[in-house]
Amino acid sequence: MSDLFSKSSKAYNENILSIRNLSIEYHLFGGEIVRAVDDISFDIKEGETLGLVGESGSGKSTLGRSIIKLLPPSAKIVSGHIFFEGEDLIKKNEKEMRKIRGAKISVIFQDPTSSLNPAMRIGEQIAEVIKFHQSRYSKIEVKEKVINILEKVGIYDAEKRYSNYPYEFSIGMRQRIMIAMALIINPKLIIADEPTSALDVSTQAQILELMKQLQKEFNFSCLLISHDLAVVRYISNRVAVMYMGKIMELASSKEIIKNPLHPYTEALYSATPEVKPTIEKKRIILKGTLPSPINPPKGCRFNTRCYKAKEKCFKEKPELIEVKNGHLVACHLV
Amino acid sequence: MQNISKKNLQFFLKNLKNSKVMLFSSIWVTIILIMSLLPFLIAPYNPNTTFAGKSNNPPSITFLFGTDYVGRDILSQVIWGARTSFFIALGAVIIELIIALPVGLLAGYFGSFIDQLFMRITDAMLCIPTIVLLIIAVTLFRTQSEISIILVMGLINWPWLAKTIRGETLRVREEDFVIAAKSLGFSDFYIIRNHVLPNIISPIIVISTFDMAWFILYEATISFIGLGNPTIPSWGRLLYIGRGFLATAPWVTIFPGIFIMLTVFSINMLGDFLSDVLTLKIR
Repeated sequence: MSDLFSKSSKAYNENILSIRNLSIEYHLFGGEIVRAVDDISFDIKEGETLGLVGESGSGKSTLGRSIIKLLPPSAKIVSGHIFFEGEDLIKKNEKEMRKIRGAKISVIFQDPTSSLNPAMRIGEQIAEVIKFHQSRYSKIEVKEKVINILEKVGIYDAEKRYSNYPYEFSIGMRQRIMIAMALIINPKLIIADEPTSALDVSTQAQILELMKQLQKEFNFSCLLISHDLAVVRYISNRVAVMYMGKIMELASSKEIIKNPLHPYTEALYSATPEVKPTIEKKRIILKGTLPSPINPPKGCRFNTRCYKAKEKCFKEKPELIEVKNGHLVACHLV
Repeated sequence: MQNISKKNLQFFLKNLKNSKVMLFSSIWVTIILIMSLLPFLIAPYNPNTTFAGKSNNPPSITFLFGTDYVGRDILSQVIWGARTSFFIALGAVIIELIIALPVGLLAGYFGSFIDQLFMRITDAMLCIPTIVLLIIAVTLFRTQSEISIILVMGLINWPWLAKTIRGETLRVREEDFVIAAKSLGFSDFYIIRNHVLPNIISPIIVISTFDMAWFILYEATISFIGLGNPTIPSWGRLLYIGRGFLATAPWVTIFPGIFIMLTVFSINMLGDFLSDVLTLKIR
């Protein structure tokens, strides 16, 4: 294991979230074990947005869910620590976690249509969060706060819209409501799990712009999970690339685009469409699909699909090493 | 619940105009409701008054539905009987909801041990035919008051409702908005009350309506086999009385029979319709 990340919780000075050696396993019905997250460490600094990119099945959503400890019953955190504001969340029980969820860490889900309760007025749904976590406010104050946040996320005529049901909103509007719900009591950390995947491209841009702007105002840190490098690049300070439960590369978003070191990152970047047709980009096409996570390949996990793989890649697991200042790669070729 | 909005009401009224069956059912249930609430205003006579020398009279202007073998007015008995049937059915539905709601919600939401425990109890109850259980229970109670019949019917019929509520809860439990509610730090009981229950309320209302129709039939059955309270008029009791005079005085059985049939039919139709109206909003 690399010593790049200090192992103690004292690292909390500027880091709001520090994940250390986290491993999560799914115990499948047939007795098979899938290691969805394998020995992962990273930090999120205060006010920073960390993008987590990877294809489906790479374990990025599992990682996101594990931070608020809302994993499906078949998943188990095997080892590691999740330090949030210096405290290890792994050691917290359900009751203590409830005080953190929604109040200090909020989640924005992928599909705003199914994530809103269809039988409840949207204003009440947002107000509920305040009532549950901060009971000191009066009814009128709560309503004022909700209308205020609805206006901030760009819902016009918020006072009227307060008593509308979710089906009366467009999907982009619903995602704005989800964002309002996540922000209502000013959490320190937002986990955005594919916040724009369910939206069309023009709405995507609006939502991302909104998040950028709200981050300035509310000053939260953000873990942005997405399969879309373009989305992540747009609002992240740093980007981590995940493949089969491992972080392959971690660097600032500028650096990762300009100078991708891992073959997987290169392939991922080459797959993002370019707006200007004049820019010629070599498209790297990976062979095959994700190997079975039940029997992951030995050595480097990417070796079955890597177009640069050498003999060493099939034998030894590459460690995550710091190549340049702040640029971490797990590859033998670097 | 705040489930019935303006749109639902508009939809209800619009469909009421279009469908004659719906219109009839609504009117019929309204009539029965008025009958059960204000029988003393509508009934022409006291249902227990016997008119000397008027036994088994056919329908006439003085006795619209005829009289029974001791000379009591059938129409008055049918009107007072509506009250018995309706209140017993309503009471039994309330009793079964009181038991089935917590059992179904807890079993469905928490799963595992609680689910196994509750569902095995319901399974055990479900393997005995309801009507047999009903007769045994009514006989065992010995009292023939309405309260005991309400309790017995509610206590016997709840497993069906509980199973449905559990199934619906299982479905809603996996919905994203429940996971989202958890991610906001809400407690389980809060989520059950504010997020699960409002989303399964429409099937519960619909099934409860259907159950009301069943309870009217059950009450009639109990009275028909002579286990009901002989001092209060009920539709089943009238069938029981008229059973011996089918050839000579068929009106004693025909009129309450028609009332049972139309009421059960109307309530079923309304329940069906209600499910359409209530699911409207979710979409």
